[in-house]
Amino acid sequence: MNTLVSAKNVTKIYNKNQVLGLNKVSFDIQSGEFVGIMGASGSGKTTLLNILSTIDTPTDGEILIDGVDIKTLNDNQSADFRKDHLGFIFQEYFLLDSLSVKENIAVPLTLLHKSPEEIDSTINYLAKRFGIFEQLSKYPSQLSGGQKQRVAAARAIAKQPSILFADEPTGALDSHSATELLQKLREVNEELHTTILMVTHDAYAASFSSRILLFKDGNIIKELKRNNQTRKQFFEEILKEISK
Amino acid sequence: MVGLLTIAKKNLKNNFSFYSFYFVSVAFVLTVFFSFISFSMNSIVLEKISSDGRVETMSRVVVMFVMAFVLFYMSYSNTFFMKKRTKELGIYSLLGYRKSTMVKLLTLENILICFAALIVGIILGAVAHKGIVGAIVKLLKLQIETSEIPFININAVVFTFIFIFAILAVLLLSNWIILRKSSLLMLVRLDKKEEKQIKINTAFSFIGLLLILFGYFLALDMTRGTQSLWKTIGFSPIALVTMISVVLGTIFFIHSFLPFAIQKLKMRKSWFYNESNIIIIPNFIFKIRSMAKTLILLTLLVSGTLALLGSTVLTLYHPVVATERIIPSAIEFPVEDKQLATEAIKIAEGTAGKENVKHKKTTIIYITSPSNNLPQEYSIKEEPGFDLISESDYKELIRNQGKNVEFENLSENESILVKYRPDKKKLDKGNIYTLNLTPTNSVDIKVKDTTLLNPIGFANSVGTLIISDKLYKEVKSFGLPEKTIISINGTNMRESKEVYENLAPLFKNNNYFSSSYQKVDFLIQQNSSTFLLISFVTIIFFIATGSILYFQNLSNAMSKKDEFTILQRMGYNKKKVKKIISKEVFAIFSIPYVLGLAHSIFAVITYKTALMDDLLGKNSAFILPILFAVIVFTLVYIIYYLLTKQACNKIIFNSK
Ligand SMILES: Nc1ncnc2c1ncn2[C@@H]1O[C@H](COP(=O)(O)OP(=O)(O)OP(=O)(O)O)[C@@H](O)[C@H]1O
Ligand SMILES: [Mg+2]
Repeated sequence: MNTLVSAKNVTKIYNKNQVLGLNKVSFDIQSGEFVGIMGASGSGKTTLLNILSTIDTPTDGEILIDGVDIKTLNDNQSADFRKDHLGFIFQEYFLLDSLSVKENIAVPLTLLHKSPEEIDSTINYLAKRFGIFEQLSKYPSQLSGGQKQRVAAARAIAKQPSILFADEPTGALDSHSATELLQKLREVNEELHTTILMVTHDAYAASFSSRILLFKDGNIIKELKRNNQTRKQFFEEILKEISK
Repeated sequence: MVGLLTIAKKNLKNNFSFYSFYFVSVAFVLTVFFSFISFSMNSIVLEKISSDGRVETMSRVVVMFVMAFVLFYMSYSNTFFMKKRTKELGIYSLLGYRKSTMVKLLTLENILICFAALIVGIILGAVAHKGIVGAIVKLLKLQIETSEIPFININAVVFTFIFIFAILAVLLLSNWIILRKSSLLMLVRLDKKEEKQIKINTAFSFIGLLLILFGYFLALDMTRGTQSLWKTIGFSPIALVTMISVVLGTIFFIHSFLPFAIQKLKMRKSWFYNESNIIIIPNFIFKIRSMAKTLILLTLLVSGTLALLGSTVLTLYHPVVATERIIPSAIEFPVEDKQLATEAIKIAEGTAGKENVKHKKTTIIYITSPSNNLPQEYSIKEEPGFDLISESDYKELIRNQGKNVEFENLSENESILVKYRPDKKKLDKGNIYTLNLTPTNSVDIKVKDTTLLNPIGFANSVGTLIISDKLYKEVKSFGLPEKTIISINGTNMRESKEVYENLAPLFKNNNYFSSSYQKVDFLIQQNSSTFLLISFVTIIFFIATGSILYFQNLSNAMSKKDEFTILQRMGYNKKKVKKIISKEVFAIFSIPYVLGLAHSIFAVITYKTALMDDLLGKNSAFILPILFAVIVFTLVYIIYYLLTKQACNKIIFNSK
């Protein structure tokens, strides 16, 4: 396995003489991993995700994704980088309201100039996989929260990104829909070998990952590995760790 | 609670770029308003340019029009701002502000803006008024001491103030009604009203298309002349049907046909699966119903503006060009007194220099004909008949006028008929007319061709028949009634004011004395006040169209700001987002433009055919003025497009 993301001493200062957003954070992510990031509110999870996904820039430190030093990218290059390499899922879904489900999933593919036939077949495959095939011609306002999030996930995965970033993807979902989405994400990780970096508050959600980075005040304070445990065992371990 | 004035001031400051357009547009509207009111109250100028009260009546109508527009414009933009701010108002309401307090806040803001705009409007309006008066005085060469006209007309100021306060009162009332009707929940959510997915009715969409085409067909039918429905059924009913058909057609077209057509376009996957189209097309279909009313209003405004401008320019331009036929020579008069004629030529030569003057004496012979296939020209005049002119006289005159003769030499029994109105089919060609030399003696003559190049003005000769010199000599020997005409031409003679002014006193009460300079000058004098008033109306139409487009697009951009953020996260770079924005703005701009342009062209064709006497038969005399109107309109439209695009980009890219 090769290293997909490598972060060294990444620091983010929002305002001088205030708490650091990130304080010299270093870690590596291997290709094909499913990594969870946990931490209390305000601990810097979203900040890290935004920086990794080139939406925000670090004050200091070095980040390589797929061998690209993202600090050197200008606006256009970082947009292209997101287009070619990154997928996103957000807590608020961020679907385009005026586009149908099908069109929403098609957007990143058109951005890559795929042929209409390829776009249609990819959409059909993913829609079946995420259980939203019946919903393809509906519009976001006609979907439930869980369905919306699965559409967002399908849209993020459609272009087969090098890495998929998810910020609290289950935050707005009930436990049933959350489980369904997490299972899909794990399937995608295992079967399509998509690397996933998922931010979450929730120990249950985190237990679907294979490794967890625990954040506090802009630092990684602990790393948990699932190794050969079952999901349940891993869940217990996480619970124990965060109640400390 | 924070003081109202503080909130109002803060609000204006925070939303500066937003309000600045509102402010600028209101100031602009008030500038136009004030300058027009000043003009309509300017008795010194009005007295001079209008002898029969026509201008006063017209300006009264235009004042009503301008007032109605200002009221419409202010309430349109007020409602727009209200809607944009419902969320903010909802928050105030949550915080415990009363509705009456909010109305006070809104009114306070309105007063601040209107008052500032009023001051700017009065100053700029006064300057504009001064400019207009200066231009009129210069153009019409009026004898007015411009310094006697006050820079700011106090009556106009008072009137403007009262009017604006009346409008503010109306706005206050309407805001109060809107707020009172709305519940707290509505206030918090109103600004993001769910837009329903539309159902497209195929029948309606085709009805729209057909109605428009039917209207166009009726408009074109006018050109069929006497056989057209406009003549056989009547002008007013057909005009009404055409109008209703086009307006209804526009409504259905925008409401149903456009979404239908775009829906169909979506089927073309290779076109639709494109990084910008996949965003723009669904957005457009999504928005079209809520925008339909605005787009329809805009289309009608654009048609109105263009038709008004086009027909006005045409009405002014066409007669000026037609002068070339009505008075083909620079100066022309019948010889009634030989001495007077000699003196006139001397004066002309003395004024312009002998070498610059070409004068020609032509004698035409009146003759009647018993034929029954006579051309229309034969009977136009008081006593029906032909005016015979010899071929060599004709050719010399035409050359003096700087034109080329269109035909070869005539043989003895051939003639060329000079037409009054253009006749593309040349129906008279080949006809044979019998000319009465004496009650018992006659000669037959064949019309070899017809021409539009009349050698003599229509005041002096209609139904002119050009015949060979030989025949002319023969006819002359019969001693039929004659008329001798002197035509003066030469370098720059047509524009020469001096020659006309020096000759005019000799022919004081002579209706047959005609001067091309005088005719053009008269046309300009006659029409300039009309043109001025129409210009006011056109400018107001321009502002209305542009501002509505601006507001509509801005409101779209604001509601889609989040979507563009998502797109950027997905990897759309700034350039691609800008491209999408500009295409969306372009689409909204182009619908009223294209439809309005088409409507107005058909309207102008109808207008031209119905009301204008076309003597020229040249398309350029028709196309040039319309082209001018279209170009002016298009330029203004493009400026609005660029401004709007820029404002939308600002909204999308300025993170706040
Ligand atoms: N744009 C910003 N400007 C200034 N400070 C910010 C900004 N964004 C985040 N912060 C600060 O940085 C710190 C980390 O914020 P971040 O959003 O990364 O937390 P988080 O771990 O995602 O929290 P949550 O779980 O609530 O989403 C916080 O103290 C926050 O106040
Ligand atoms: Mg967060």
